[in-house]
Amino acid sequence: MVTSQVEIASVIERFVRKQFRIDETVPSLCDAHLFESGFVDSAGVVELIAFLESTFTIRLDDDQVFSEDFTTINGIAAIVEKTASAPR
Amino acid sequence: MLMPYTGIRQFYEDDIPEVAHLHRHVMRPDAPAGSGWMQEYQDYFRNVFLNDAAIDSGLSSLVFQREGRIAGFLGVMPRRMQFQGRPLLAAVCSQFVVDPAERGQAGLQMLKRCVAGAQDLSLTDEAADCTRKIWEWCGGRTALPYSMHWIRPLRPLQAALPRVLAPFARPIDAIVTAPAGRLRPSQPPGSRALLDQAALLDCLQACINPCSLGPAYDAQSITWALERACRRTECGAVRALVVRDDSQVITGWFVYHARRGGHGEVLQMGAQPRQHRHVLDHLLHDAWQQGVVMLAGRLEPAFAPQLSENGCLLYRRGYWTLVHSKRPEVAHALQRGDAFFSRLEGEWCLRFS
Repeated sequence: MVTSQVEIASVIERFVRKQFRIDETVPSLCDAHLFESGFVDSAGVVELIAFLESTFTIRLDDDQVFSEDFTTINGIAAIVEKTASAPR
Repeated sequence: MLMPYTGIRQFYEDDIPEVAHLHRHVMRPDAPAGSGWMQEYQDYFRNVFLNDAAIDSGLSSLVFQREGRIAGFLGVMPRRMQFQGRPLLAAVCSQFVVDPAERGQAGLQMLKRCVAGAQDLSLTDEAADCTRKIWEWCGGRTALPYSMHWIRPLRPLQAALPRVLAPFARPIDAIVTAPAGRLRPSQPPGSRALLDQAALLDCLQACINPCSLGPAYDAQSITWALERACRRTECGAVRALVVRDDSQVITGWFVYHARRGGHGEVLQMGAQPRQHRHVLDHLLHDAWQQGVVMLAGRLEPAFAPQLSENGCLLYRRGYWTLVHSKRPEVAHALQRGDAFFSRLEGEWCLRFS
């Protein structure tokens, strides 16, 4: 089970690179704005949410998805870590 | 000092110039520069999304603003419908555009806000794959029966070849569509005649009852829909005809674009119980007489057996019909094909052309 925010960010980055065909010549994506940079569009967000929810067995609510944090991989990793560690 | 607004709000007439620039930038980047396009947009938005029916319904189109600048638009056109005999307000969503720099959360937010509106049913029937993903994430569903289309070649070689080769294709088509051949529609029994708005309203009221869900037109809304269709001159003239049997009893009707030497596009067809074959036969024969080389339409489930028997090919044209309702039984009616929902009720009439 992935636990640390760094590990989560690494898993998300691998998914984003593969799913949205971002090659290795692009440096670390972790702090890049995924939408303003053009890496992920609206349909891509839906794919990303589905990936996060299935991989980390969490449920993201609208406030999280539409938050400013949900625009970078590091921000998303923080949301995932917080949600996964919250008591259910 | 007030901070420029960021968020989603109602679309107003003053927004038209900015939305027009956005729409043109995203949807028509290669459109020729000219002086008249802004006026065309003004007319379009006023006629479609800011007309009296839209304003009276309480529903509104939405814009997304980033620090005061409009970066997204979602058109909402109210439609009066009925479900099991009771009135229902539907919102047809169309012209969903988001500035590429805002793609990501903005589109999702706009659609989520839209489907949470006061309408009983939200729908769109010309959605691309990416819109389908977003829509389903917002809790919407795909109505597969209304996502299928059909085509029927009438003059197959002319339909297959470029138009400049039509003179060479015509003699061969004349052979393969010889009278009494399978491809050539024969003259059906009964008659057909041009249909005016009042008669179309009568037909609709008489024929949609077997379905749980259907449109609830009045004289104003049916006139508006037909006028919108007529503006699509690139698709050919609109022909609306009523079909009668030998006893002069109305068996059904159809509305379609007929373009001589081109494709015909069926917008709506309806029939009395067990008269679907008769109506379809008249439609095909009329299209043949109008010189149409290929007739196409969206599947209307009640006509499925007759379309199949008449050599129509079913396929998915690239569009999805998507539905969302807080009342599951309403969405289910569309998902199982238990609705009278034609292209005349959908986005066909909302296109910017």
